[in-house]
Amino acid sequence: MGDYVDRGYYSVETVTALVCLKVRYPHRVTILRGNHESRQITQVYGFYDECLRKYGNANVWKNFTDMFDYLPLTALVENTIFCLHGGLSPSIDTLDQIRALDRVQEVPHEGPMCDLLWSDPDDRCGWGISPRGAGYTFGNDISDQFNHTNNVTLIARAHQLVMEGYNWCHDRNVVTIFSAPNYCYRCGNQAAIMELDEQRNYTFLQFDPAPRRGEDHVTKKTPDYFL
Amino acid sequence: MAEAGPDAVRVVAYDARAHGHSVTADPAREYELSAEQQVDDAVGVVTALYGGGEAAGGPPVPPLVIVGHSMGGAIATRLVASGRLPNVLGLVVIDVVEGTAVQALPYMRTWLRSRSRSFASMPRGIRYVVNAGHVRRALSARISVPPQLVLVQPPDGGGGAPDADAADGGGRPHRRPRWMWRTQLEKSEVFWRGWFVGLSAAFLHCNVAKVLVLAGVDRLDRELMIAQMQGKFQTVMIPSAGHAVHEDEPFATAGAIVGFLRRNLFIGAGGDDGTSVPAIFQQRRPVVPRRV
Repeated sequence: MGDYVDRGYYSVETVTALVCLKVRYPHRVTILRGNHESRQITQVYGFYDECLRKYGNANVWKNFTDMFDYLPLTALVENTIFCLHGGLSPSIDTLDQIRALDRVQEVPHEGPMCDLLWSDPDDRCGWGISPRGAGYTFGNDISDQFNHTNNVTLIARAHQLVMEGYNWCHDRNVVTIFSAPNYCYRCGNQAAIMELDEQRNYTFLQFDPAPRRGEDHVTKKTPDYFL
Repeated sequence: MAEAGPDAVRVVAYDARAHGHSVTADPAREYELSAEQQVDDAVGVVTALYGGGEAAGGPPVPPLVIVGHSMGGAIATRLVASGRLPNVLGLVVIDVVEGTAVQALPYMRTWLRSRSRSFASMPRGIRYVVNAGHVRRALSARISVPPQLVLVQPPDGGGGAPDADAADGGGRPHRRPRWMWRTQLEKSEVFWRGWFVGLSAAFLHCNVAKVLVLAGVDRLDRELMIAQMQGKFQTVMIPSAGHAVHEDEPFATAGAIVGFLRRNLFIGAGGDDGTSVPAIFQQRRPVVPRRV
């Protein structure tokens, strides 16, 4: 459900492994797009620098980010579980409206495609301005209406760090799944994977980070704080 | 800010205590630079300009967005967190994060000592600031450095500050007037920790729309990293800038602030750059900017 690159030391390896799996098992693997699968975000949050460091030029970054434009934004599991990276959009009421989006492009700054990759569920009802600066917040009433309209039972999404790795909200209309343990080597969170069996029962597998093999090799400079 | 497009924003920028042209009535209190005192000072500035607001029986204070950089960002955060100002809608903090700031504190004394202490002329002072990389954009330094330097007459008898930037080596007492730092940062050392410790929690506690403008992604500490990844505030990264983000990249910084103001509906659309009021709020239901 997106965000395979940025902010770790192994973005290239991670996204390469995923793409290899997709190539090997094209019908068994679905890779959705996250808000970090974008040219603009990766230039700020690390993937671009990592490619430059490991390959000496930006070709790998360019090819990957060109490929990101083709990643689907959402997926539907057995017509009941709606999967995406961020959340709902005020411009979208039905799944057909998503199917009609011209999604093969860089993630825009606003509009439905941006919202699907940036929005977050919220305790308050209705739509709200997202504190993130992109997308919206949506309340339980919105999730409920969306699930009802589209005859789905659950919105499964990622995008937000949750300390237990997964987190239900909106009366179980929405689940957040975050699969990066100890995010950025410092957040101390567990990660989780959701498994579905043939009867569509869910189980969550939580996991801790693997032991670190080495320490940060990114040099940090001391900022001049009193200028 | 003006070039970035908003039509109805007034910017109030004052010299903090012991900075620029600000002086204290009691010279002994000049270097009382504690966070609490500086919050008091800021409240004083707003009150002097707009009165105490409706709580004091006066006209309402206009909507406020508090902006601060570095130490000023810490003060801005504590000012908003204190709840002492009415009608605060937003908080803009530029390149200060508790984790990194506290980590940097032990190096600050060395940093201050290694800084040139005086200059033969104002242009030399400006050139020094640019060449040392404190400010990367000369046009900005020409504006920001002059209020930071004061002309100091040589004391009688030849003693005085050494010619740190003199061509024939430092350490020689100077006989001509020299430009020296207006603010003696060493005197504020006792307050440094107080500015920054607890800053991340205070930032997250501020119940207004927030944006953190940073020069680099490695600046975030654990607390802010978690909160950012939970979508609790906006971050704007300007990696081409150094610590003096707003001086190194004034247009990018102003654009980030104006975008933040527009997005949170504090100000009208104005420009035609696509950052106008989201159409959904006009079509579906009225939405008042929500407290975060």
